[in-house]
Amino acid sequence: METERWRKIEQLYHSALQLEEGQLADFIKEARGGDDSLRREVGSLLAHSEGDRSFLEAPALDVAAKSLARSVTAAGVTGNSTGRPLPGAIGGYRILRVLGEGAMGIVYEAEQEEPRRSVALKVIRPGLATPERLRRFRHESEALGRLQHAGIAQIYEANTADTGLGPQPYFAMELIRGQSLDNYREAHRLKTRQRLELMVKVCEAVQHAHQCGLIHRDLKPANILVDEVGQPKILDFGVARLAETDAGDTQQTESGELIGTLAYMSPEQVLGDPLEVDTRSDVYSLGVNLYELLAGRLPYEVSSRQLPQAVQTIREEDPASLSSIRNDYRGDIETIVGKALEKDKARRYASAADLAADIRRYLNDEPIAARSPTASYHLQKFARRHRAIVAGVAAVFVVLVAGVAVSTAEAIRANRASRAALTERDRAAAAEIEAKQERDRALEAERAAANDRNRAVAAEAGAVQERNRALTQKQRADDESATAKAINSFLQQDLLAQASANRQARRDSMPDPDLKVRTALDRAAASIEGKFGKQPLVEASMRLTIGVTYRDLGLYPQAQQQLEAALSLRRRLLGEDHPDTLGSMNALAVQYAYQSKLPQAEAMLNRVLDTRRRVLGDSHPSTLESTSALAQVYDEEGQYPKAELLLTKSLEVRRRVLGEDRPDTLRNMTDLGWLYREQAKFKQAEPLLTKSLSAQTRVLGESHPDTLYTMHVLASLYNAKGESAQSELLYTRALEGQRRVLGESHPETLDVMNDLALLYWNEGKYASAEDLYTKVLETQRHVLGDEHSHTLVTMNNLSALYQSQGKYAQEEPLAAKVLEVRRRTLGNEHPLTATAMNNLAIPYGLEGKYLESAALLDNALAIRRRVLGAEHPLTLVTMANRATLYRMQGQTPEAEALATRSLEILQRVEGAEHSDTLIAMIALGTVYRSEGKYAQAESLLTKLVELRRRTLGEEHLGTLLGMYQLGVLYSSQGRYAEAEALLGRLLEVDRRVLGTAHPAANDVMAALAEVQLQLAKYAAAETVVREALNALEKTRPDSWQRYYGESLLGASLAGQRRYEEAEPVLISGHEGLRQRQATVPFDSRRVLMDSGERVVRLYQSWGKADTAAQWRENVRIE
Amino acid sequence: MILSTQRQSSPHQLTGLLQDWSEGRQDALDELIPVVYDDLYRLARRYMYDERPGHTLQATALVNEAYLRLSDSANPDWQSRTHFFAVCGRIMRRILVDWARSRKALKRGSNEPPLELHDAVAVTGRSGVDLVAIDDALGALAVQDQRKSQIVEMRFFAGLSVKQTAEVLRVSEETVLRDWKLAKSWLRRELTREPFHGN
Repeated sequence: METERWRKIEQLYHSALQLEEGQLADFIKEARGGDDSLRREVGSLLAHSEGDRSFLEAPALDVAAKSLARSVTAAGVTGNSTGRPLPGAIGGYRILRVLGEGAMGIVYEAEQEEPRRSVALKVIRPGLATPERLRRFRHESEALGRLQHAGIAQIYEANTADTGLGPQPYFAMELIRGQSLDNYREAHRLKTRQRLELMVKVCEAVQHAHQCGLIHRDLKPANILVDEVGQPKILDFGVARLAETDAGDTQQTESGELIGTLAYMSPEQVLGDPLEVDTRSDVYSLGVNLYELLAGRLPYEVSSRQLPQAVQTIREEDPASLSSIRNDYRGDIETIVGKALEKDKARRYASAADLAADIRRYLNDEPIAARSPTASYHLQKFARRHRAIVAGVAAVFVVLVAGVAVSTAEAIRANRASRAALTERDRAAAAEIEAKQERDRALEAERAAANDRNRAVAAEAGAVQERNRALTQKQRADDESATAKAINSFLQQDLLAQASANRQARRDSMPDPDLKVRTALDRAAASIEGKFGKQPLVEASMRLTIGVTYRDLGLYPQAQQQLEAALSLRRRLLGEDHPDTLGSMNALAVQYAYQSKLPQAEAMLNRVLDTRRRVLGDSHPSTLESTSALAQVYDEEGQYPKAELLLTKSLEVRRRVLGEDRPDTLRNMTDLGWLYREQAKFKQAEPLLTKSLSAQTRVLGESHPDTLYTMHVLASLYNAKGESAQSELLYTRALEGQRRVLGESHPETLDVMNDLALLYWNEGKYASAEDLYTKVLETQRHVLGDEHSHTLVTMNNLSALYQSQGKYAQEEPLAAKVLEVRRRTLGNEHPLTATAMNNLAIPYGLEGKYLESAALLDNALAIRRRVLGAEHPLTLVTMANRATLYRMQGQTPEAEALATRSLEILQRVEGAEHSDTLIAMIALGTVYRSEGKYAQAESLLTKLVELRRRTLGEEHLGTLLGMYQLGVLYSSQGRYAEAEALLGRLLEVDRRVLGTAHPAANDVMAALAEVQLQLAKYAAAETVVREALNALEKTRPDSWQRYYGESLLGASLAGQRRYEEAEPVLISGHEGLRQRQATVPFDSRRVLMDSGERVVRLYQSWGKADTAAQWRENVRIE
Repeated sequence: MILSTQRQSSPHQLTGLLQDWSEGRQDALDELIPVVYDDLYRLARRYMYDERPGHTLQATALVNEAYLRLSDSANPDWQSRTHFFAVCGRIMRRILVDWARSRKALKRGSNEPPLELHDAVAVTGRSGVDLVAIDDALGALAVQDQRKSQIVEMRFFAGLSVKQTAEVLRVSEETVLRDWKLAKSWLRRELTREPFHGN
């Protein structure tokens, strides 16, 4: 086309564009339909001048990048969370998603066509793999292909692909779904034994590779994954070489990454001489991994050092001793790890197999190779392995097998120091009575002999003989009684001394599977069979002792068996009312109580008590003991009046008979005080408990378990009365004592910790409460296991604490765990399962996981409807929660319907002021607000705040949340001044009561800032938002609220005309919101639109019309 | 595609060449390109595979970075920078179009759908804008009107603003805007046309 013609076209084109819109359209139509070709040309150009104004406005680079990303998506592949464009395919493997990234490159999950399988595709960063190295690698990959071991991730292929932007080296390997070694350790809370067993497997895998001629050089937790069945898999054999720096080549990974790997490198490796590196370097790395696995930290701290210092540390410093980290590690474990970590490789284990072998020896309690065996060392080992036999059962066994004769000196060991206070006297008492009876019978024989003597005058020898025999009989009886006593004492003192820590164990602790005493007991119980045919009463007495010991160990079925046997023997031989029989009955009843078979316990104890009262009298120690036992059973059953009666009476007797300051009397006082407290009879409880405590402190000492228990009870009383300061003081004292005397893990210690945590929580000392709960939970998990009901209760409480602190991310895993266990152990229909579902739904909802939350709530609602009924408060609370969630999802009709119903019923069933009703009220109020029904919302929310103020107090979290909602309402109605006043006041309180990091406080800050922006108080808004952002950046940097805050900050800056400062935050805020829009609750959706608008307005005010227009398009499209 | 030999560029060389080119010496461009190419290529690759796209500000920052690296940053000459951007437009076009062509070839090999040729009138950046097609169309436009083709190169491939483009070409901003508008209409028409060119 000639230049002239073209110029005419241009002219016409531009002048046509000056026309009005309607005219332009006509012009186009007319021009295109006409004969003039020039006009036709112009017409067609004009036709394409309308429409999308953003055509070609975005730079080509962005277009290219986006189309790259999109083409991958179009092929049915999802991108990854970072928004980076994924390559579609590499080398014939179809990329699915990103698994991880490292210094070397990116690892994708990919699909192979032939054979059809999922693989892990590791793509090396271009620039890192020079052709030289690639050639070397391909050579080595043949060897890699030969590696076939369960513990090594198989490599399928190593190659390069051409993606159009240069050669892309990669290799495809076995896809392993698992966790890295350190994560696995944490997640599964492995015990020492399990950790060691895991390491053995790793060593075996490494050994296999060594035998195939390959050294790993980069063994670290990130390279050791553990799959779902607990099999460790080692990654990247030989690959480490690709990242190796040749001498003189300055290109290397970022120094942070290098140092990270450095921690696992042997001294010869860090020096860099490749000739010095052999299989023993891998052994060293295994040692570091083992150390870390056991200790939870690295042997040397190199991360904070510069490279040269780090190298020096590895080469010269000694690792922190393992025994200083945990006591169990002293001795063999420490030795093994030490030998693996030897700096001189000649002194290390020569191979991974040797290391594995020594670990195995340790696990089998065999002497390890790492130490030269001396005689005493062997004996020590033997002793530990067969401890029980050496100390306990053997002696008992000897007693039973050899007969009755046994030297008392041998039998009785003075082990009183390790005995804790007894709560059961029956054993000793029974044994004594038993022995006494035998002696009585012998005395009878003697008397008979004496009588006979008068008759048989002539046969003096015979008489003498008779007397001798009687004497012998008496002697034997004495012996027997002494023996029985000895046996019993032996069993009690020696055997049970080993279980002395368990003596005070309550019904809620798990039996220790390793305890050798149990083996001893089992053998003793078994050997009693048939050995005491002639001495059934001795048998009964032994069974009684053994049965009570079983009970102390928590082995209730065995205990019951023995005690029942003892009882039936005595019943048969001595009769129903015999003191010994009663003693057995008492013991059995207590056993039933431990097993929560309360009706049986109650019946039996009543019988015992009746008889004992009748036969022995009210003041007899045995009678008193049964009284206490029965009172405890009544307490458990909730029959407080009966319990109170018994305890009052027994206290009176004890005071009279034993005196005021005797331990029994004092214990009685405490028990009665506890009973008063449970019935909220505070005025009666306090004097009793204070008196008991001071007397016990004086008589027994501050560290005596009885004293500590009373302290605990009194502290709990103060707590119930609301006297927090005193309560806290006592709890702390009791806790210190418990820790000292009973140890950190004792159930009694944990009880106090739990109570104290609750107190802290009520006082608002969240950090202290959290600290305690965490400790308790840790201990319970360790001692009782994850599934024990006590552990679950603590888990639940801790998650609720997190909830009130706004730590939703920490709450979630705990609540999820509780749900998982309840589901598994109680099934899907159980009310407790429903509770767990409800509790987990809450953090989900607050984190924006609406679908999951809804599913849980629907489930919980269905269960509660079915099991508890449609009008049960719990069902209704779940309903109210579901309504709130509907609102957040934008389903307002459903939200309103559900909230209305729940409120209506709750008002009827629980009254207008009940906390449950208030939950429904706030749910409905906020629904009304989001529907724009402001008048109704205001009436409800105002009432809510008033009621909560009255019932919970001015500074309770519930009241503060209500006020926040009211403030938001005012803001929605445009009542900015009122909103500002309310929210401002609220913020002051929030700061003080909740702290600036609390989500509720952040919400108030954001709302206040919005209002202030409306009022053009830009500087004030800036201050408030900065405060919020400060907290958000630390606590929830990835949340939509953080980016919302940025947008608000930007707006406040723009309002002050600080455009340069405003620009980056506004854009970052908008972008951040856009990416997280799925987590924004529905009725807050406008924050995204607002943030886009703010960017546009910024550029407009700034005078950058071009950019403003561009942004306007972008925003509109979104 | 020009495969450059590895050349170290000295800052003065760059400025000198840019000066020459701005004074009208076309062959200065031929010397400039290899100098800049490597850097841009590496940067572009990094951008696409490693950096986060989505910030429209980033693309220009990339070219800026190249300029800072290659030029005498102790003495930033804004005019020189503008010219540099113009050159980059040319180079970026080559890099990206080559890449787009190679991807098309790749895709035809495997069983994946080709880069979609969406309605080019539709939204930029969110639907497919076929770079290869644009390159072809731009070539045709250059025959018709060289300045307009240059403007598109600078604005679209190098990300220059209207103001900067005006500076480089020594025309008014209004002229740039008018040319830009017409060029876009032309390209849009060209892209929606059937392969057969009828006039």
